[in-house]
Amino acid sequence: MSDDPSDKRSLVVQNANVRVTVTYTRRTLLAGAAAATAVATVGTLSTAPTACAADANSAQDMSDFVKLSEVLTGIMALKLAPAADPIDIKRDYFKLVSEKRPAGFDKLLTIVRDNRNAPAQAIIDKVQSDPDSKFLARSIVLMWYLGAWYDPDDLKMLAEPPPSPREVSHKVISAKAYTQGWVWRVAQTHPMGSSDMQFGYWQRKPNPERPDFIGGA
Amino acid sequence: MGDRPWLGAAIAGAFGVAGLLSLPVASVAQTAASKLLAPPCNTLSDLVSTNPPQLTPVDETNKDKLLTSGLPCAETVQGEGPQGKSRLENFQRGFDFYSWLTFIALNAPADDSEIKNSRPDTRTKWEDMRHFRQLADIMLLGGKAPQWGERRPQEVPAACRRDYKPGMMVTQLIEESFNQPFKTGPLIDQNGNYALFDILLNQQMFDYIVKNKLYSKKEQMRNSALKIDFPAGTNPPSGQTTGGDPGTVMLKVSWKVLDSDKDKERFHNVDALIFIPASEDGKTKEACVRKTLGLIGFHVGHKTKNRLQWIWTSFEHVDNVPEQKDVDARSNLKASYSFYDPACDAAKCPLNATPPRPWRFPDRSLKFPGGFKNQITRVTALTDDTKEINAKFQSILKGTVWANYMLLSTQWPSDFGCSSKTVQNPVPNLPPNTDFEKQPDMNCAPAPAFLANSTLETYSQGSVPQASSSCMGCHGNAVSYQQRPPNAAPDAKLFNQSDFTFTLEKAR
Repeated sequence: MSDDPSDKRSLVVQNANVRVTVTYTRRTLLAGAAAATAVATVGTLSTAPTACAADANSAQDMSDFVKLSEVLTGIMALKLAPAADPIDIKRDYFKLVSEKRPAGFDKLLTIVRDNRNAPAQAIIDKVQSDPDSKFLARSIVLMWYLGAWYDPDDLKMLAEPPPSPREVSHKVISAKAYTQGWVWRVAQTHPMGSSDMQFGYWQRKPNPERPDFIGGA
Repeated sequence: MGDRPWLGAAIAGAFGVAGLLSLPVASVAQTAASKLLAPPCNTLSDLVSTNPPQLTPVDETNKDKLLTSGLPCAETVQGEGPQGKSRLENFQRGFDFYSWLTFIALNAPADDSEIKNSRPDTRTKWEDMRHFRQLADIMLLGGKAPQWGERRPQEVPAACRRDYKPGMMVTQLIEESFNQPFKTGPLIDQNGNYALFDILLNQQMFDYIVKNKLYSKKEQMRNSALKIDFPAGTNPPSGQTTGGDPGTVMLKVSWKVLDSDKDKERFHNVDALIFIPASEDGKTKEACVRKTLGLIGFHVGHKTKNRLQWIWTSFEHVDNVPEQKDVDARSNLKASYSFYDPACDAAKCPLNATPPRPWRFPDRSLKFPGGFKNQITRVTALTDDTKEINAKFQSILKGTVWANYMLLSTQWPSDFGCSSKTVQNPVPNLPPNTDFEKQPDMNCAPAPAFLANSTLETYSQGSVPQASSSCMGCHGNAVSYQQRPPNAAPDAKLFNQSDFTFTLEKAR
């Protein structure tokens, strides 16, 4: 992955559109976010604790998860997981995936661990080559962008013919996850009811050249 | 604003002396020169060495240095620390250390003696008008320009003049003096008295307001091109011990009425004149009452060069409220608190409930009608690290009333690239040239994400995004009366932000 923020932006698009199937245009991101918002009013996701190999308190496991997330989302690791991270949403996400899909999560982390120095595309290719990993990876992408959990089996059903008339269900993970969804930053907006943007920002047009939303500035 | 005009007169607080057991009158009259709070700047850090990381001792061996080194002009913090601590925890400890140094410097005696010799009613630096002025003394009727220094006799509310003595702090009751932020309700203690709140600004902040005529609503509206940007604190240049400036410091304090002599030994206290303006309907005349007030909450907002979103320090008295987890477990509870009755069950005394409406201005009794008493808990427990640093500093303050205060936390902007960001084309001689336009988070990732004082943000404690108290999350939305002029160019970038302070909304 390049250090050039503009490359990272294009990688987001490339990853999202081509590799993970979901089309992340500004419009669809907003639509997805609206759906997530609707769910937020219903309640948050609870998960039953299950045995898992991956450990959120392990620095190595967490580092692998952040690397995996960076490769899948196209958002640089330091943005997903700042060095001093008061929000620490990565820990919530790590725990959720490790509880929901312990075996598949372990497999994904192993792919990253075995390919630490490989180009991002090489990791993506390995993830894509395994059906279980592929759809769990999609769930992880959606989790980072929408703050919601989409079950990998549902995503698989959705992706495979014949087209399913059934809507894919999803649940907003928490209030914190809802506000931390990267969809908002990509769209240069904020979640309804929660804004840290400057007072009066609405009088200025979104600027696609601004790197400070998802890039390195 | 409430149903009464804000003004007329003021409240007088007699600091230090007025009480029978306090300092001699001569020490109250502000005649002698007082040392500046800073410079020299206190540049002590929580680490004495980073290789290997070694904590600065906070004990008897280092007590005198810690208690007399003065005000930090800016934070001195590092990401390193003992093994097993995260970068976030190390920085937090550094900021908490800075907060305690700040607390000690501001609460040191106004007469420049040492804090270890303070009595409960010894007047503090921040209560001295050479160092801080109350907001009501700055935002004057008619938008008149305020003057720095001792209050002039004509500025004392007529109803309070009889009891006023030079050096007394004078405070006016406005709605914000008894109703919490966003009008979430008054706070009533176990004696049925209102808790009272006040705001004070240091000279750097005062001077900026005067220079730009921000004390006047009309001038604010006229000066729409001004990008309000208060001066930031800076430490001396690297390798030097002189220079530096504390920049802008803003305080918000909370008081409870002290009825017993025993209480006066537990709290820092002042003998105060409280001015209550007449009601708008004319049914109640203005009044001035004399009360001993005990300090129960102490907020410091400090803008520094590398933390342009300010550093937010929150202290409170240890007897205010129990922690929610202790109430749930029915353990570690004291016999009594200022705002919680351990003998009252939740059915009779619902937790963290606001008083019944209406929330009118207090009358001269300062009692809430109907005998209501709040039952408040601290929803978010202090971290173990904060408890540890509190115990250390309280130990070196033992024997003074200041050992009865604890740091809740310090909120600081954790995205350092963001927090020191200035505009691309800085205006010469107008530092700090803060970039307020940065997006998507102009608060630069506050840490901790939420922070509430049980006496100052009583009803907005918790961790619900945008609803629970966050110093920066709230103050980042503060605005002034600036308005976009009708002839402004369509692409003109005009700001209506007041640099993390709501005080400019009080311009008249």
